[in-house]
Amino acid sequence: MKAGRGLSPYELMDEELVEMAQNGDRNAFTILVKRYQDRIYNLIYRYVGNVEDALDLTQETFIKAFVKLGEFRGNSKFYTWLYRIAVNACIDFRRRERISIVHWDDIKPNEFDRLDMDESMNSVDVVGEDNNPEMHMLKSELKQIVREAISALPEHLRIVLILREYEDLSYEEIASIVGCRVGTVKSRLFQAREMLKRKLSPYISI
Amino acid sequence: MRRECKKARKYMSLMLDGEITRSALKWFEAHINRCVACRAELRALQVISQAIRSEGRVKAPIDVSEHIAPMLWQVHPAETTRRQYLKPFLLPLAFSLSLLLAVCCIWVRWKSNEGADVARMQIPPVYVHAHLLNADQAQVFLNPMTNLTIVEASSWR
Repeated sequence: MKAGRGLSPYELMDEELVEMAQNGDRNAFTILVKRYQDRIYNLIYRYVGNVEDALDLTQETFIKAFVKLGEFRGNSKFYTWLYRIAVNACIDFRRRERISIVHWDDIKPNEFDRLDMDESMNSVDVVGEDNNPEMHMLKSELKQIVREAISALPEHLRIVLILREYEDLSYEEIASIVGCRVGTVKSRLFQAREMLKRKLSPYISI
Repeated sequence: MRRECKKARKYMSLMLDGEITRSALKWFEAHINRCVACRAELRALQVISQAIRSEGRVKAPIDVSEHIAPMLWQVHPAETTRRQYLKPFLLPLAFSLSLLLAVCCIWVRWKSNEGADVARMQIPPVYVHAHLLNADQAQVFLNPMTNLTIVEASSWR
């Protein structure tokens, strides 16, 4: 594999690597896989919720991308195109496997009924300034509850929320990945957050 | 829920994503400052969003690129090969087809005009009584190619 301009292949832009891969350079494609494997894995893992399936689907996504590389015309960014393949793989997987879904009604307040969220808890990051183990446990518990609540969201809302919150993509990028309008993305995010808030309100006391 | 609060709830999601417009933000901040319920709603949404974002990105437990590298040699990007092969020919091919189409159109038009002229030249006109056609003066031609009768009248009454 030769890289122009005296750059190492790892320094090349996506577009250049894609072109090389389209001309049959498998090593160029391997660099693209290295570049995006964590992002794609994270998206899929957040969607399916377990490591084995997430790994399988990540591999499937990249193989599909390689096979379909000729269809990529550069109208969008390479990674949004990759995300689109990953999202479709997730949806197909869901249809195939019929994963046991956590239903809204399964998430019920327990002994951690109300996690008092005062202003000092602005950052829910793991053990912040307060090294209080009890507070740390409460935060971890909240994260777990939030994860379960997200996995119980309807698919079309969940995928948009994951792309926004975990992947930090713009509305335009999400619209391009999911194949809808920006207005639809806004509306789905609004609905997803409303549902989460409704479900999690027993755990959060402001 | 008041109409203002309903509007504020819709802005909350945009506010969290930093996608709210400046004018909407101004209105939203003014509303939040005076509405306790909406303030609490916003706080709850912020707490949930922070809980999600604080988890960070989960890294792939293995190097996927190394894992799939051997598989890439077993699959064939057929689309790639075909498209790449056709790419240099697509533009000249489209140009040639357009040119051929234009030539055909011109030829068809020219032939149809020629046919009409031939009909007019070869078939002698048959004069009919103009009053039968309700015209001042009329001639009738028969087009042998189409087998249609052509009537030319100087002016219809």
